[in-house]
Amino acid sequence: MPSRRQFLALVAALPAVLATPGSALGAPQDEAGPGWDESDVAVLRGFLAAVFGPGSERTDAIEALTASLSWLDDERKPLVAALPAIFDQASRVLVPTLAAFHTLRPEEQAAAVANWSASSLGFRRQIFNALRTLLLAHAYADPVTWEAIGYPGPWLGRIDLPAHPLRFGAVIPGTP
Amino acid sequence: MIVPASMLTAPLTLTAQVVVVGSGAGGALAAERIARAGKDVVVLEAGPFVPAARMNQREREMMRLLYWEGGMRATEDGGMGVLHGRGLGGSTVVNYLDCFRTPARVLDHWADARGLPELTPGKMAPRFDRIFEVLGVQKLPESGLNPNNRKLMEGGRALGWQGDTFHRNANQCYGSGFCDLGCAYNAKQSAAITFIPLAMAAGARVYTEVRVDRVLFDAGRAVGVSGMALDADRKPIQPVTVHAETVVVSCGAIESAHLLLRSGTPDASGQLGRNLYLHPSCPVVGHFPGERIANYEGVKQGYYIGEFSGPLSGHPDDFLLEGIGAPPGIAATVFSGLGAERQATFAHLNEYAVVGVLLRDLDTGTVTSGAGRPKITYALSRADGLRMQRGVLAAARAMLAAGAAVSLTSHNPARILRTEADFGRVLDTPLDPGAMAMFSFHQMGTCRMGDRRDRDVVNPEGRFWEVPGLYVADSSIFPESSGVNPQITVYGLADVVAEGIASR
Repeated sequence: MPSRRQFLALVAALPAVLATPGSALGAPQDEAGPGWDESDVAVLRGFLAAVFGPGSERTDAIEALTASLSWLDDERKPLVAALPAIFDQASRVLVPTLAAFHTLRPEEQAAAVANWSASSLGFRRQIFNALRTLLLAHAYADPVTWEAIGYPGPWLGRIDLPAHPLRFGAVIPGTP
Repeated sequence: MIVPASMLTAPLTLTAQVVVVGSGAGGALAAERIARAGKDVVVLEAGPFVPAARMNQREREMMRLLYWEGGMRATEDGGMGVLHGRGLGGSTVVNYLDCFRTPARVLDHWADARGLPELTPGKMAPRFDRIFEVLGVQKLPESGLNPNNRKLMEGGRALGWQGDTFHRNANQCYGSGFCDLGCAYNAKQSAAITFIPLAMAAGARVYTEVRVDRVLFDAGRAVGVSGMALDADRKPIQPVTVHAETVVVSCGAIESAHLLLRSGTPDASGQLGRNLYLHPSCPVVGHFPGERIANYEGVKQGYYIGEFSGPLSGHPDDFLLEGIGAPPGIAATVFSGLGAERQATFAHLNEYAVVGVLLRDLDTGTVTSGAGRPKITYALSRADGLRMQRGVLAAARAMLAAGAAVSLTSHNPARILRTEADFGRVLDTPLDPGAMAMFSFHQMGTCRMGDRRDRDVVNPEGRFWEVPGLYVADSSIFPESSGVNPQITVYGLADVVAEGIASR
């Protein structure tokens, strides 16, 4: 958990943190992780539940995101790794009596995420967008989510290529 | 021979006449052209060679293998994802195969405004002819359109708008729809399976998994490069040095600028890293209840509307509308909403047609080198933002004309458009970063070509004005954004640069 001073330093580094809207990917599972502690993981779980909705616990989004961070430039990894802590503590910097996000009940977490989503403060919307994008991209790259959206997954091993009717485009010399 | 430097157990030092850094469209063609002239060429590529047999059509593994920063690169404010390829063949391995010759009006403007007579349409035509032949480019028949692109075509035709199917560098495409994750069937004629093999046949030596950190200078001229071999997890393992009398930098507009800046390359113009164009793109969705669109299947990018510019018109709004699909991880980031409500929207994924608005940006950003990584600073200007808004409305109009029940924008929250009366909701939207999902698939500029050393980074031959022996051959030398998917323009300009080097 960052101190108030550390938190402010992290906010100052926000542009670099935010330069990671993300996309789906993975990385070797034996890579060193970002050093997230239990409260960081609780923040990610709560945030994912709020944006993904029912069934978020069945995805491996958080594990995959953890592994993915090893593919960021070295200088950006610690900044992105700090996103959960920033989200957890940001409101408390302004109003110290507020509870940390990870200690809230699920319905309170959902309300907090909705509040960040529609915030009039640009940096709050940007942090929301960064976390949302990273987590949703990883969640929907997980095959357990595909049935609900009707995505059949890779062709390999599923489509009989020689019989597939779409094949076209033999190169014709001299074209176009 | 392709040598994966990840296997090195000792430092590697090479000598060549020409070292080419990067193996995408620019680097691959430059290597082929120069090697064919009999010069000794070494090609260095930061990423691995990923053969078709390793492409498994899964987002996680393929994004990690084939994109810079695993596809997580973005502008500093997080407002725009910046996707570009990393690996043998560069972005040509992960693009949608769109092959536009640079529009004549764009070439004429570049030739006139920047003093580049070699870039006139007439002089570029034979270069494009040869590139099309090597890449096996041909026009997609309408029978090859997937339902997503067919909706765009139908909508455009209903509105009387000009449009056409794409020319593509595909050889016997199955239409699997995994172009952006690498072609598992070698149907996509990327640089990795066209110009790189031709370069190797002409004697070029190719080393993958080499991160070049510095251009080396001696007495004011470029004399080679140095860097590190990387292991499979991208950790540096052995130093690599290539001594060469000519250095060709072809890493794309982001990484080329980053390499040249951190090398301390002399640049009297002060423009190195500036004039970054990103072709901002945003998706617009049409919902066709009860129809199976499955935008991720088939030829993802098959049809475009050129009514608002591109190759077909000179409309001042200067944007293209292109059919586009995405795997679910990327698609999920486009749809706004939270929790169960968001799930309910995304559950209709198969009923959504998607149109990409590709804006020819007129205002620019910068690439700087900080703390060992490229920093991409780019904000959509008000003028460009207003044109983007008009592009969003045109895309929505096309979807509604094709019969969509509603059109959804990628704003947060999404604007739901049912009739023209709803369009004001888009025009009222602020343009601040993150207000809508935006991506850059094309990065250009940063080492602008031109005939004035006080204004342009490289001269009309692609050589650094201030540094003998140092050339740039990739999208970074574009004087401005091309306004169309740029791979053929990259090949064409690299051909101009390589021809000069080959003839010396």
